Formats: sequence, structure tokens, C-alpha cells
Amino acid sequence: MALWIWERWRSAAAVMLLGMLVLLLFGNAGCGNKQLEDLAAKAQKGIDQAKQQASDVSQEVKKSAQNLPGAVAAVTAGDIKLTLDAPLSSATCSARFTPPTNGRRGVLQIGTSVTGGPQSYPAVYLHAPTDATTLESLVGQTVQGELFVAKAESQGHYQSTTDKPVNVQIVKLENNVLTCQLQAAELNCLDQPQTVPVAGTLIGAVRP
Amino acid sequence: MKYLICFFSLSIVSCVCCAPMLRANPSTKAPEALLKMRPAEKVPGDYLSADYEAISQRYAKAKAASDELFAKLTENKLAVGDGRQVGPLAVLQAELKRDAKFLQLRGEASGWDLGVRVAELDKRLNEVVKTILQLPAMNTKPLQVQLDKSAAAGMKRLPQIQALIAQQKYVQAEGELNEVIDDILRSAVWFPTADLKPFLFDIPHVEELRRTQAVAELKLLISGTDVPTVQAEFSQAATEIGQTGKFTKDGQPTSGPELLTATQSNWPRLQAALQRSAMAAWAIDQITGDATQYQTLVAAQRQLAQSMPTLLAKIIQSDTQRASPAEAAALYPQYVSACAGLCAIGPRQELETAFAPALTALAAKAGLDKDVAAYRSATEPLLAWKRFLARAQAKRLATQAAPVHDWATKVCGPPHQPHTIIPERANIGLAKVVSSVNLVLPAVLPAGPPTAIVVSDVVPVSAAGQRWVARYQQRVFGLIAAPPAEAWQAAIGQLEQQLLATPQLPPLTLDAATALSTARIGVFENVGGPIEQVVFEPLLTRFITLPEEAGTMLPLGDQPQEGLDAQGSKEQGKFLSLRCDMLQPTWLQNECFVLRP
Repeated sequence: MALWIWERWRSAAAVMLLGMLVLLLFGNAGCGNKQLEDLAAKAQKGIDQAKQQASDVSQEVKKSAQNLPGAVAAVTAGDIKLTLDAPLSSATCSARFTPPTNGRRGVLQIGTSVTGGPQSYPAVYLHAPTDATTLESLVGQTVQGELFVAKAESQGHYQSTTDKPVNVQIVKLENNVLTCQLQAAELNCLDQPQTVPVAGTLIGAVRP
Repeated sequence: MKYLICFFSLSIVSCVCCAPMLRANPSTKAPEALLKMRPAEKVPGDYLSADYEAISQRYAKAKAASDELFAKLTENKLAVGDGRQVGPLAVLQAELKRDAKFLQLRGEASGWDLGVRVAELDKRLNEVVKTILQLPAMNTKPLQVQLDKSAAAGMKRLPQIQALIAQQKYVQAEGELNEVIDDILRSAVWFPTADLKPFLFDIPHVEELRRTQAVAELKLLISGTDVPTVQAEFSQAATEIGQTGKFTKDGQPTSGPELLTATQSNWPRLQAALQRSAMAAWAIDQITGDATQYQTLVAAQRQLAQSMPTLLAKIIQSDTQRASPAEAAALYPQYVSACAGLCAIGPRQELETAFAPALTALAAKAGLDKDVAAYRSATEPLLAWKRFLARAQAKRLATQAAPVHDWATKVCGPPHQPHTIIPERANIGLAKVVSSVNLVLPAVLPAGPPTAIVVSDVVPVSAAGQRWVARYQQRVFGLIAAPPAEAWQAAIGQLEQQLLATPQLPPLTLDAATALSTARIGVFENVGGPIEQVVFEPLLTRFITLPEEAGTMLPLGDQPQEGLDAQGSKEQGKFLSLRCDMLQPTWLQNECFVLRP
């Protein structure tokens, strides 16, 4: 599955690889500088292309979900493409929506796992409190939340900054597959004191 | 109620036994200070007393005189005139030796440390005497005259001393005899072969009297904490709450959640009382040569620690059985919050295991089970991520630092330094007086850039205080500066938001409520930074004199293991503990976030 999704993403990935090359050429791993902003802009272009293809992808996610045994498919089928200091992708993504109850806010969760912490790497998790009563009513809306990323178990850890939550647009919900567009934002790198720009898409089947 | 009365009576005992001690224990900043000793009642008529101030002054005077003479000796500048200091110094040292022996008899580490210190002073004085005697201008004749005179005067006093013994005034007799000996010693110090035999005899019963006195004082502390009483009170509370929803305490009806909330602040006090009595029992074992008091008491306390989670959960269970669904719905968030406060500072795993089924049953009765399940699925991954990231970050930050126990083991003995407080083939967890602590301390924090250290299990000393403590384990605890207020408050605010909680809508699961509670209280799993000061403390005395409000320095639950693995050590009186001060922590890791001042 990952392979043919890769086909769809090839052009976006090419831009991301180009971005990496730019980064290497400048020989500067520091984040938040001018080169990196350019890189983020280029990556964003790739993501915009990806966004156009998102519809097709989500169709395929759905198809692949149907091909897998029910429960497993609902949990794991999906696709994540993020650009931090380097591209990051995962073929595992699921989502969960908890509506508000008795005055308490609801929450939208989407990431490589919505049942616990990181289980495989890279791991991505978005937690966005919301007052929307249904997931359907969120389509077309933008929610604010916290984004967590772990490239590996012991390093490559990022989270959104306290004062600047990430904005996530709920692009669509079709056949129980949710497509979210993460708008350009900044993540705190927890390995060392620096921030990195982030943007990307998360597509995952909605868990009950 | 008895529970509280028990606390109250203990606090009276602790006030008597914890009269403020004016001087601190020896530290890297003041290595010459003596180890503290617990204040004591004298045996009536005794000339010896555990008077920290008096003994400290005596030692300081002797040390200064000895340092001066020894400096002259090493610089080869001793003159006959320096001999004037020798007699008085010999007497001071004799007095200090008696102090040391007396303190050892009382199970005071201070006594063993002082013993090693005075042995060193003795060695120096012998060399000084030898050198002065070899000076050409030295004339011993007047000293011989003085010795004969004082010996003759002493002989005249012997019958009086015998009379005191006959009247069973043993300690007075020993005091008189020592006066005689000191008077003779002033000149006898110059005559190593002088015959002092007529004056060197043991006075009967003196040690026994002093032991009995010390044991009586310690027994008072033990009788203050009765394990079955504490257990019975919790059981009674569960029964009453099961019947009426209230437990009458000090004439005040108290609800189950209120009782659990009160236990959050009472438990450290209880822990202090238990630790006090355990250490008092161990001191008695040291004094009497017995080995059973401590083991028996600690076994009872261990049993209490093990039953505490069940005793507390029983209160929730009883209340659940009694309450109507509407009452259960009101009680549920109250119990979750009270249990979370206990889990935040207590033995978490044991408490969670006991509370979880009780809270699940209460939620079911309240018809809240679906809400709880939804809340759990909305917050569980978030908490897992936050804990994962915070712990991984702390692990990375700690790669440049040494865990405090490893570091202390390294710097408190060879090969880092020739002097030591660590027995052979042991670590800091068995620290005791080996070398005198004033020799060990100066090399503990060498000049230069400070080593980064990591301490764990950090909680606030008091709710309103500005000091945090890395709780005691394996002989080490630490005083830590307060976390950075602004960053801390921001982290709490963020966590509340993420956990979808407001003051009116507290977390619905114990796990989330506990996480928030640790954040609000300021509980940190690990804290890193340089150590500014290390203080050595006498283990038994540190805890025998522990005030209730200092109970926060102890982990709650089982009593700390203290070298019991050393198979019935008979040397507990020599045991030391360490306080490591970290006044400028560079990072503090709560289970959900890391603060970096």
C-alpha cells in the first residue's frame, strides 16, 4: 500500500528531497533561519500539490481499509506527510473525535495512534480540543491544538509551543476517512533549544 | 479522631525532643562543625551531658590550640614557651574523649566522629610533647614537682570518692575522680611513664545509668505511634461512612472525600512519626546490644504501609454501597480529586491498584461510566505522549549528569580522596563514620566547574514553602530551590486545557487527575543541576529528632531500607545520611513537562 501511495506523492516528495538538498548545500542544520524559511516555503508548495491529490489518496486509503480485516484497517490505515527540518511520513494514521459532554470541551485526535503514546516511529499525534458537537460539523473549519512528533524513540522529539498552538484545517470527511491540513506552524525541538517550521497533511480512518 | 490526637501527642513529644539546635551539622561549607546530637535529660548529678553547644565549643578550642601547635611542629618552630598550652590541651582532649564515649553509649554518630577526631588530636599532641621534651632549653623539674603535688592532692580526695560510691552516687563519684585525673594530667602529659594507677579504676553502674536514661527517652518516642490504632481508625472511618456518609472526627462530621483529602496532609506527619519511632527503636538496639526492637517495629510498620491503600479504598467502597446514584454522581469527582492528591505524593502504583476498582464501581453507580470512558479515550494518548516526551527529554538532559547516589559514592571516599565515610566494598547507601567527617567533607566539592547532578522524587517541603525536597532514599536527600513560577504556572494552565479541565469540571479519570495533581503540587520525577553544598548528618539522630512538618522529606508508604541487608548491623549508631543542596536547578521534570529556569 505504502508503495502506491508513494506514487501519488512522488512530486511532493521530490520537492521535499530538493529541500533537503538545499539544506545540505547550505550546510547549516540550525532551524528558524532564512534558508529554512525558504525551505518551508518550497515544502509548502509541495504540500499544496499534495492537497490537490488528497482526495484521491483518501479514496485509496478507504479502498485499502476495505481490503484489510475490519478492525485493524480502521486503526491503522492512513497517511501522514509532514515537513519539519526534513520530510516525515507514515502509512499509519487514525483519528478519533470525542464530542463535548456536560459542558466539557470535546477533542479531535489524529495521528499514528489515538489509543496511547508512540508505538512505532516516526510517531505523530495531534490533540485539538473543540466545541463542535459532531465531526461532520468540523469539515471546512480550522481547529487549534497541540502537535507532537517523535522521529525515533530517544531523539527527534518535537512539540508545538505553548503560546503558539498549531492550526489544523479539517479538509474533509468521506467514508469515515478524515483529511486534515496542518497549516504552517512552528514546533519546539526538545532535543536542543531550537524551533522548526512544520506543515503537512494527516489522513486517517476515524475510530469509533 | 484518635488519629489526630495521636498526631497531637506526638507533636508534643517532638517539640520536647526537637528543641532548636543552634548550630548546623558539618557541611562542605563548615566541615569542622560536629554532627548534631539529640538533646537529652541528664542522669541526676551527672557531669556529662549531650550538650551540643558546650561540646562544640570544647572541641573548637582544642582544635584551634592543636592546629597552632601542630603548625609550629611541622614548621619546626616549637619553643619551650609553647609547652604552656600542652597541659590545658591534654585536659580538653581528655574531656572530649569522655564526651565521645558518652555519646557513643547513647547511639550518637557524633560520638564516633568525635572519637576519631580526638584520636587524631592525641596523636599530634604526643608528637608535640616529644619534640618539646627534646628542646635543649626544656627543663622538666618544675613539672615533676607539680605532678607530685597534684598526685598527692588526688590521693587525699580518693576516700571522698569512695564514700560517694558507697552512697551510690556513682556519676558524682566519676565526676570527682575525673577532676582529680585532669589535675594530674596537666603535668603528667609530660611524663608518659608516670604511674597513675591509683586513679585509674572504673566507677560501677555509671554506664548502665546513662544507658537506662537514654533508652527511657527513646521509648517515649516509640510509644507515641501505635500501628494498630492507626489501622483501626481507618477501618472505623470506613464503617461509619458506609452507614451515614460521614466520619465524626473532632466532633466534626467529615465526608469520605474530605477524609482522604485530609490524609494527603496527615500522611507525611504519620510517616515522620513512624520513622521517628523506627529510628528510636534502632538506637535502643544499638544501646542495649539487642537486635529485635527495630526489626519488630519495622515489620509492623511495613504491614501498615501495605494495608494503607486498601484501608483508604475501603472508604470509597463503603460510601459507594451506601450512596444513591445521585449522591454517587456528586461524590465521584470529589473522590477522584482526593485520590489523585494521594497518588501524586504517595506510593502511586499501590494506591492506583486499590483505588481503580473502587472508583470504577462508584462511576457505575453514578451512571458516569460512559462519560468516564469517553474522557479516558480523549486524554489517555495525550498523557502518554506528554510523559513520553518529558521523560525522554529528562533522559537526554541527564546524560551529562551523574545520579546523586553514584556521585556521592564517588566523592565521599577513595580513590577520589583518602578519607571516607563509605565502608569497604559498599556504596553511599551504607555511609557511616569511618574517617572523621571533617576530613572527608573538604574534598567532596572540589573547586572548579561544578558537576551536574540528578536527583529524583522531588516534592515541595510544605504547601506554602519556597523549598522543595528530593525525598530521602538510600541515605541521601536534597533541598531544591523552588521551580520557576511563571513557567510552572504556564505548564499547569496548558495541562488543564489539554485535559479539558476547569475548576468546575475536574478530570474524570484517576490517571488524568493524578497527572494534574502532580503538576499543581509541584511533584518532579527528576531534577538536574549543580550541588552547592553537602551536609553530613547522623542518621539515627536526624530521624529521631524529625519534626512532623519535615515528614515530607520521606517517601510515603514503606519505611526506607537502612542497611538491613548488612545482616543485623550492630553499627547503626555510626550511620550517616547526606543532604545535598541544589539551589539552582537547571531543569525540573514533572511527569508531563520539563521546566528550565
